[in-house]
Amino acid sequence: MEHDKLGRLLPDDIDRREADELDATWRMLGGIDAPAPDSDRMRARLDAVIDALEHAEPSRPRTWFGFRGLAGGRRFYAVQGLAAAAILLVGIALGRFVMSDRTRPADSASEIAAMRSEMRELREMVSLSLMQQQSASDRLKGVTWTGQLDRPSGEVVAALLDGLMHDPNVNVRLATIDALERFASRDDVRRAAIEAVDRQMSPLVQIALIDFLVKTNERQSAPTLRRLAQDPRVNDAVRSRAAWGLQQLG
Amino acid sequence: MKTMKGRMIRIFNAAALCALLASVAVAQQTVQPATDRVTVPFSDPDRPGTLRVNLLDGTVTIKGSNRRDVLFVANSQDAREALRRRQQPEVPPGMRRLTQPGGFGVEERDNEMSVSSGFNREINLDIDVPMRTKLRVSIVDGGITVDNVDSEIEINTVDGGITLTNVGGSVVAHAVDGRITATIARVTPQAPMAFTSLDGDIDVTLPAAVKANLRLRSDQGDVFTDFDVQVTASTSANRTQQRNGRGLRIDVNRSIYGTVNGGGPDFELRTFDGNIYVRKGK
Repeated sequence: MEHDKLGRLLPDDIDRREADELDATWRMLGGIDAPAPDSDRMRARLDAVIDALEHAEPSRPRTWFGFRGLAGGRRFYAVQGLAAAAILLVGIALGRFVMSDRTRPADSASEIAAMRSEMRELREMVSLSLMQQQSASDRLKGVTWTGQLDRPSGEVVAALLDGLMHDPNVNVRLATIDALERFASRDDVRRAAIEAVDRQMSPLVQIALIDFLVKTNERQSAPTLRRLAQDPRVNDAVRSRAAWGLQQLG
Repeated sequence: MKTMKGRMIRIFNAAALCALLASVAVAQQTVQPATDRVTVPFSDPDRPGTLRVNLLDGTVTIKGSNRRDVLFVANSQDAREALRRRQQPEVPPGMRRLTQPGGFGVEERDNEMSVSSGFNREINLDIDVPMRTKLRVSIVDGGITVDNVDSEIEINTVDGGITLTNVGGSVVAHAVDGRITATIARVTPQAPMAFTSLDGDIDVTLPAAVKANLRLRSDQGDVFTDFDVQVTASTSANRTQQRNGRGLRIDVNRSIYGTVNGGGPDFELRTFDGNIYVRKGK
């Protein structure tokens, strides 16, 4: 309902794209489920985080992995906090946007730019927090939404790579490969794909990674593909795909 | 004398009847499969709980109903048959083989129930759960059947099929070497789904009014549907082009991207060596 109200609040001369972005963000926020309480693994992570907090220096900068640890341990509170922060940001952005448009119409360009940037951060935050959820369907949603992000940050790429390497669900790992295609020009992404094709246990993921390496014409992968093609312990379909990949890479 | 004889016959008849009944009961005991039944409550039955099943070898049948706790039945008869199929030692003279219980463990903590089996033992479990129970099932060698569960369903098998009937919510399923058959009666709005297999067919029936973006791909098989799929982005989404030192390379993959009923969340159906069927349900 909020996004309908939002549509009515927006001035007539506003770019419809802004309104659509706001609308999409409302939908994203509405789509976040309250996560279920923790499992053994989460409890272990919580213990690890508490332990780390007790021993860590107070002003340590937050990295993606730090964020992940916190979200994994106190996921319920972390996601609640994120959702609250996201709603607050939307409120502030909307307030600033509407007020600035009414009071200072001539000076709205920078405000709109600032709002766009806040929106982008917000959407990114929603995608990242979805990728931390316990439900595979939610994680799939987070991975898919990264495709809609305009100029995603390095944190998104790191989260996708983390998903490719460590997500327990085969289908989520497959989805990260599709999502990583837009970042195929990055060396670290292609390196990670080579590493993953060697380490993956799922033949379907291995085949998708071989296709990815062929598409990106990653010749550095040739030794790995050769090894896979000759390893009798590797699944037959993967071996023949690796042989095909070698042929394609020339 | 005659009445005495008649009474004796009646007593004899009654004793014979008792003996007969007893022998039938004993026979039934030996014929009927011995089952291990365990009922485990959730710590907060008012909230949907989660059931995790991790088995190396066995089959699992999960049925949703209006109950609030979870009933596990391990079928020893099946286990005995499985035992017959494998190499087993000769029965020593004068001895008989006793059927061992199925052997499994259940742990409940914070509304999450975990089931595991002993190492190297096939187990066949029938599990009755509350309808809204979230399922996370992983079986290495064996199949799984789920009926009438309306929740988040996540299933992985390596060597076994996945059969879902009358389920709702969202499904994320993967079988390395097995067929996936799913009849989905209700879908959670905006929830993506995925059905993938390396070596099996994927046969999914969706509600006729479902709104979804379909991503369909079979590397070595065919794709069939009776939905009115509006194929989208057939030229851009599945085509990549790359310029390199030698010139231009264009790859067109075999994926079909399309929407049904105007589009919605992504439903991915992918198999390497099988066919894909997307059927319109009622």
